This record gives sequence, C-alpha cells and structure tokens, in this order.
Amino acid sequence: MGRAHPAPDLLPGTLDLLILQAVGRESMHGYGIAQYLKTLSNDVLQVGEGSLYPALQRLMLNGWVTAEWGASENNRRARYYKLTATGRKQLARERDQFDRMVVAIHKVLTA
Amino acid sequence: MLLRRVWFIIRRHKLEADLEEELDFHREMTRQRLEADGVPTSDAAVEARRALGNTIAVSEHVRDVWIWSWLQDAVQDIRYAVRQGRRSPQLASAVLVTLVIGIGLNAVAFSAFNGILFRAQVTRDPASFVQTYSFVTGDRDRQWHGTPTKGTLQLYQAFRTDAHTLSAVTAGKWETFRIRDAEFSTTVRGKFVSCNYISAYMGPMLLGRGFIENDCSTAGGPPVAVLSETGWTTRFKRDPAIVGRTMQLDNQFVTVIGVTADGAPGEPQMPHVLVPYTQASPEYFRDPPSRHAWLDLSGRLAPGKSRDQANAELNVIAAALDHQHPGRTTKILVTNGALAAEPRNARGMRPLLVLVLGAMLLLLLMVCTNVTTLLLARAAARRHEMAVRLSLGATRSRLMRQLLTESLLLAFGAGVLSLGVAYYLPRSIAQLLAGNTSVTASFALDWRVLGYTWGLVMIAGCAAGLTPAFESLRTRLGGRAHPLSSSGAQTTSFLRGGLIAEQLAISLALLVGMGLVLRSKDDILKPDIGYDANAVLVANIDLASLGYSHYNALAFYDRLVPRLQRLPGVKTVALCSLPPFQGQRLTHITTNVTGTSGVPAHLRAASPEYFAVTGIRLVRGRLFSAAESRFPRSPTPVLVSEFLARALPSGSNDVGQRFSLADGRAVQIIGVVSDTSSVRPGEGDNGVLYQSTGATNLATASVLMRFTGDPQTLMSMVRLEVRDLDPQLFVSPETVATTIARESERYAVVVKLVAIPACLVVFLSLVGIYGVTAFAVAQRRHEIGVRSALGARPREIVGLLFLALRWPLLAGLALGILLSAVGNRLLQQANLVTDVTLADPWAYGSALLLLISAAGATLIPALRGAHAEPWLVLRND
Repeated sequence: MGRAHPAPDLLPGTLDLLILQAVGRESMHGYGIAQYLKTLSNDVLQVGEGSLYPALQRLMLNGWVTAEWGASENNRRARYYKLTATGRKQLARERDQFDRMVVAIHKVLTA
Repeated sequence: MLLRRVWFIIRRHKLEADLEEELDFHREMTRQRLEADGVPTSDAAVEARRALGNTIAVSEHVRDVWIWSWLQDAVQDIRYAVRQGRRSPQLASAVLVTLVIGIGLNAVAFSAFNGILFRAQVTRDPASFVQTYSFVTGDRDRQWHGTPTKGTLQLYQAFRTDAHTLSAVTAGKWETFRIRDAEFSTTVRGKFVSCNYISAYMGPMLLGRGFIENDCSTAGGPPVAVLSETGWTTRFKRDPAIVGRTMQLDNQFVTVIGVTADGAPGEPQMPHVLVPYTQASPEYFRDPPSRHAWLDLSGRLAPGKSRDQANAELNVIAAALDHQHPGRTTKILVTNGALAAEPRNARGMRPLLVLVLGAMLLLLLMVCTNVTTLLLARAAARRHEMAVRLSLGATRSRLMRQLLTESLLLAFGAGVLSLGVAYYLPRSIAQLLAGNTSVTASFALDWRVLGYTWGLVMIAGCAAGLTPAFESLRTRLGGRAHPLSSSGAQTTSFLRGGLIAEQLAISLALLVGMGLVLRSKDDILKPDIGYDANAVLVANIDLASLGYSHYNALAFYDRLVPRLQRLPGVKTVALCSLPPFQGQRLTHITTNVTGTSGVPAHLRAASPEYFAVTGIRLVRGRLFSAAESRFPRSPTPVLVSEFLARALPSGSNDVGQRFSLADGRAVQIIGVVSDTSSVRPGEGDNGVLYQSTGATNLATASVLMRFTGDPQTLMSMVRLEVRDLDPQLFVSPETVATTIARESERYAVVVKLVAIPACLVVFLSLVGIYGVTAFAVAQRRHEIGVRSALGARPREIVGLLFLALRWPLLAGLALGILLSAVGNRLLQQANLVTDVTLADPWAYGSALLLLISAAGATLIPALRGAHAEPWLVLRND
C-alpha cells in the first residue's frame, strides 16, 4: 500500500479524506483541489503540491478516484479527478472514523 | 490493484509525462494567481516555482506510491521467508527435495521432448536447414513407387538446378551396411549421400578428403567411402592410417578416402559411414528417374530466403515436373527438420505428448499436495503468530502475500535446482537410449524449457502454498474462539477430505498408468510368438558376399541341411530370407480394383519347413513343393497369411488367384497360412506374403533350426559344419530369443526410463496418502482426547475416524478410476500399451495398496490417540 507523505500539520489520513470530499462534489483538477481546500478553510489548510500529487496517485491506485484530461477554465489541458463508487464508500468510511476520532479527542480534552 | 500496478509499470513513461504536464499546469495557475494579486510577472514565475517546490522530488514521491513501497514489501517478504526457512531447515529441505522431484521430472521430460522433437537435429547452423517431404497423388497408371515422402532422382536434380531459394540441395538414404573385417563381419548404420552432403552438414575433414563432384558423377563408380568421427572411433579405434585402406562393404570393396567430423541433419542418429549415392544398388537406377522415390531431400536456405519462399518455389518446380505425368500431383512440404514436424509423426505425437506431460503434471500436483500437508502442519502452528500480526494491524492481504512469497521462494529454489537436473539428465538418458551410437539431439536449455519450468514453479508455489496460507489466516480476532489456541480454528473437514481425495485420485491414476506401461513392455520383452523362441536357432550364412549364385547356394544347402539335420537335438531345419525380427521387406500386391494403390505385405521367402519351425498352421491350400523350393516358377507360387487373405479382394476362394507384385512379378496363391508375429516383437505382422525359396536368390537365405537341448553346444556344432563346407564362411548363430532381446533393447530402455519415475511415484503416493491422512487425524487429536475423557472406548474412536474417511476415499477412488480410464485411452492411442484393460490385477493392487496406506495412516495415530491418557492430550492444548 502506498506510503503517505501527508502535510505534517494534518492528522494522518486526513488529507485523503479532504481530497475525496473535494472531488466528491464535482470533478476537479489538482490546482482546483488545493485552491478549494485553501478557500474553504480560510487559508488554514495549505496543501503542498509535494503532498497533493502523491496522495492523488495513491487514491487512483486504490481505485477511489479516476482521472481524465479535459480543458481548464483558461483553456489549458488539465487532469480532472472524479470520485468512483468505491471511492464514495471509502469516503463514508473515513468520514465515520474521523468523526469518531474527533468526538473521542473532544471528550478527552473536555474531561 | 496488482493489475493497475503492472499497468503503471508498463505505461510508466506516459504516466510520468502526464504528471509533468499536470505540475506544469499547477505552476502556471499559481503564477496567474500571483500576477492577479499584483506580483510582478518575473517574480510571479519564481514565486510559483518556489510554491511548488522541487518538481523532481514530487515526481519521485509519486513514483514511490506506485512502485517503491511494493518492491520494499517484496524484499521484506523474501527476507522474512529466508529467515523462516533457516529457522526450520528440516521442513524447508523436505519441501525443497519434494518439489525438486516434482519440478525436476517435469523439466526433464519437457527438455527431452524439446530436444528430440521440436528442434532440428542439425549440429551446424540449424536456422538455414530445410527438410523436404514429397506427397504424390493421382498417379493413375501407378508408375510412381517407392517410399512415401521421399523424393525421386528427377526431383533431386530439378531442385539442384532450379531452386534459387536454396544454396545447397542434398540427397541421402539410410542403409545398413555389413562391414567385413579379417575375422568378423559387423553391421553399421550408414548413408548413401550426395557429394555435397559433407560440406553442407558435416565437416571439417579430420583426415583425408571429402567427396568431390566426380565421386557422384557416374552410377556405380569409383568405390569410395568417408567415415564419420563416430564410425571411425567405434569401428576403427581412431586408427590414423585408415585413409587409403580398403574395406569390404556389403559385396563391394571400397576405399576409405577420409574421416569427417560428426553432424547429421534431421536424424537423432549419426551415420557411421558415408557412400556416394551413385553406388547404391542398381535397382534404384533401373527405373526412369521420375518413378522411384527413395531419396531423402534436404538442403540449406540461400542467404536472406525463408522456408516459406523455399516451400513456394519447390512446389512450383515439382508442379512443372508433374506436367510430364498427366494426373500426377506432387506436393512438397518444407520443414525445419524437427522430428515433430515430420508428417508421419504429426498424428502419433500428440497423444504421447499429452500423456507424458499430463502424467508429469499430475505428478507435480501430487507433489504439491505432499508439500501442502507439510506446510499445513506448520500453518496450524503459525496461527498464533498470524493472530498477533493481525492484531498489530497487518492486513490479511499483506500477510497472504507474505505467506505465498514463502512457498513461491521454495518453489523458485526447487526450480533452479531442477534446471540443473534438466540440463544434465536428458544427456545421460539419451546416451542410455542410443546405446553405442551417438546422439545428435541437443538438450540445451532454451527459452521453451526455461519458460515451461518457470510456469511449473508458479503453479507449484501457488498450489502448494495457497491452502496453508489461508489456513494460517483463518483466525478471527475478538471472536469467540481463542485466537492464541493452536487448535482453536480447526481445518475444515471439507479441506481435509479434499486433500485426501485428490491425493488418492492422482496416485491411483499414476500408479495404474505406470503399471499398464510396464506390463505391456513385459509383453514386448517376452512376447507370445506362437513358439518357444529359445528353441529355434538362426544362422545367417552370408553366401552372397562370397559370390555364390543361387545354384551354388542350392548345392551348398543340399549338403549342409542333411548335416545339420543329423546334429543331436535338431528336429527340423528350414531356410528363409529375413529371419524373424531381423528386418522387413515391404511389397505391394497390385489388385485389379481401381482406386487402390495395392495391398501392402511383408515379403519373405520360406521353405516348407519354415512354417513347422515357427509354429504357423496351413489354413487351406498347400505348402510349397520340393521343386518349387528349388527352382523359380512363373507365376511365382506364394502363400499368404490370413490377415493378407482378408485384405485381398478375392474373398475366400483365393487359392489359385493370380496377382502381380510391386516389382512386376506375377504370383499365384497356392495356400493360406495362419498369422504370426515375425517383424516387431509383441505385434502381429498384418499381411505376410511367403514366396518359395526357389523364387529368390538362396545365397541371401538364412537357416532356421528347431532344436532341443543346449543352444551353446549346437551353435558350436553349426559353426563347425558350415566352416567344414566352406572355410571362408563365418556364422554366428543365435536363438530367436536373443534376436528379440536385441531388437527390443530400446523397449528395455523405455522400461528403465519408466521404472525410475514409477518407483518415485509409488514412494511419493504412499508417503503422500499417509501424510495427508495422518494430518487429518492429527487435527482431531483434541477431539479424541475429549471423547476418551468422556469415556469413549478406543474401538469406537478408531471406528469414528474411519467413518469420517469414507467419503474422501470413495471420491478419490472414483476420480482416480476416471483419470485412469482417460489415461488408458491416451496410452492406447499413443500405441504405448498392447491391449490391457483397467480390469487388471495391477490396477486393483495399486488401489488396495493406497487404501492400506491410508488405513495405516488413520489407524496408528488413532490408536495412539485413543490409548493416550486424556489429560495428557488435553494438557498439550
């Protein structure tokens, strides 16, 4: 299984979750995903390309996303990533795990 | 996932280019954003690049995702497997040895097939070698005759002058020569060849010179011969003074002009002596050159030409010649000279191939089952380890891969060792097969053998390792069963039963098959020929080479036969041409039925006593009269065997019918005699045509004697009598039994060849069935303990265990019988067995043997378990 090089400031595994969530709404290119995460998180989540592209490849290898070449908004060739059916299941699973984790951490911190 | 990974490795460059473009796009977008934010253009580009970081590092990381971690895991697995092997060396070596037997035998069989069948048997430059076969149809006036697939003199000359796709065209014909030395005469395999034969395939010359065109220019002239290195070594002990020496070859004196290095195209044997084809018997040159096909035509491709081109061109040349013979069509087939490509082999070869390789694969499967049991026993013990690993977070697929790596590594090791075996063994076998004649078949390990062995390794590794791997992983974490108890999860009874059934079925099929082959070889070695082969003596008296004519020979035998008759112990003396099992001469009886090419028959001259000596009965008509046995008659009186009589169109009123033979002679049937076996030991003769001894040259006849008493004494007396009549004559009489033994020597070799794997199969199947059953019982040790603790008596426990075995054993037997039936059918198709049915004591015996082994394997641990103190058994858990 692919070894991850996730952004050090993220919880392990969260990057995959975020990417799956992003491409789950509509197909997006790599730059788009980075911008999306950055905008929605008010510049908190700055995903480096060195983490983003290996992560995308890993998701592709696992069959959770597929890629397709298409034209970008400024008419350049760009690779668009799309969530697959198994990817959607994986997203649900990871989301579940993440929620449980957050609840658990929250419980510990508020104890 | 694996597929995707392999896909990536194949399409690596494309995917890397994609990534490059993608990163480029990302950089461009970042630059545009920065510009939009008001950063100057030049700074924006730098900034964008900085934001992206090291592109090469990124693509390295991406590549890691695809390949590296995978490779790392594989290396880890291999290291782990090696450590495991070192920790239990007995198990590893037991598995290794078993697998080497399985894979090795397979590789040897395949390599031998590959070497003998699929490769052109040409020492030098096999790539340019071509072998031709001719097929003649529509020859209405039946003027064409000779050996099917051979070429005529006319065809040879046409190929030589007109074929531009060939750089050399050669002709050859195998012949058995009798070399006479000072004391004894021996027979050697030799070849009549065209004069470019040596330069095309053999050479360089070790001594003297090869043939020059002049040696082949006129029929009959100059009597010269060249020895091959093999012939020089085996017959003349590498005598350096051989060149220039004259030796007697059949009836002719020839001068040895040179010795050439070995090399023979398209044949697994090496000719010992080569003679220009123009010196072949005059009968080959009597007919017009377009009629008689007797030459083996082969050649070398011209540079840059292909066999297909040669095929096309030779067919055009042959078709042009056909114009002179209306209705006749000659088709030419060009091959690379491999035995498997030979037209007469094409049909008989496939069942043999399927049979041998199929049996070998079955053997491999059986070996794998043995290994499976070995590994299963360990798998049970390793459940603990696997449970720990699973709870530490290893995925099942990851562990599966690791476990399979172990068995594949063992199989790989066995494969490498097997290649060594496959490299050396076929050579020794070939030497064994060929006896003292050298074999030109090459057994180099080419890509076919390597590929086949590699396939075997994969099959063996997976077949042997998959079940144990599943077994190791059959652990449920957090379930009811205690994951750390070694007997917590029991091997399912289905798996156990399946292994037993499989082992029994394969063992039975192999044992029965081997048994049938060995038994029918026995029939060939000691065939029932209708009379006691030990009580008939044969003496070949070579009067022809001393220049005797028929009448001189007649006078000679008039004196010899009464003398032999008076010898003590001799009952009947007969004369014949071609004594039993010493060769065959085929002829065709021309019938008036249109559309048939004549009825084939073995031709033999025989005196009336011959039939009494060899136990042949007169069915109807009469035997030859004394006068017919002495002088030629026209038409020639002949006797036909019952088989031949049935094949003739005349029906049952055949006595008195007239026919003509292939050589044009008219014959009249005077009687019908019973069938016999006199050509190939263990086989009926089909049609035999007996002509009177008066119709042939008696100088080429042999003497047959029915006798009682010691053959050695009689042989000496016969030798003395013959030398007394003509001191120049040397005879070495032998019994027909000796002839059969000599002729069936190659079958004896086959017996040896089959016997070695057969012993292995018996051993492996007994051990295997024992192992599988014992393992199945051992799995229930815990249960036995509990039952006896609860008061079950030993007899009941043993009964219980036997009862559990009934379905696997029945299924195994049924499957085994089915497989044996298929095998038996293939054996018969491949002509390897003389009619034996499955209702054979051997088949029953082997089934019984296997069942006893299984019973023993159940009984011993069952009794031990039943008698053991229950607390001891349970404490072990």
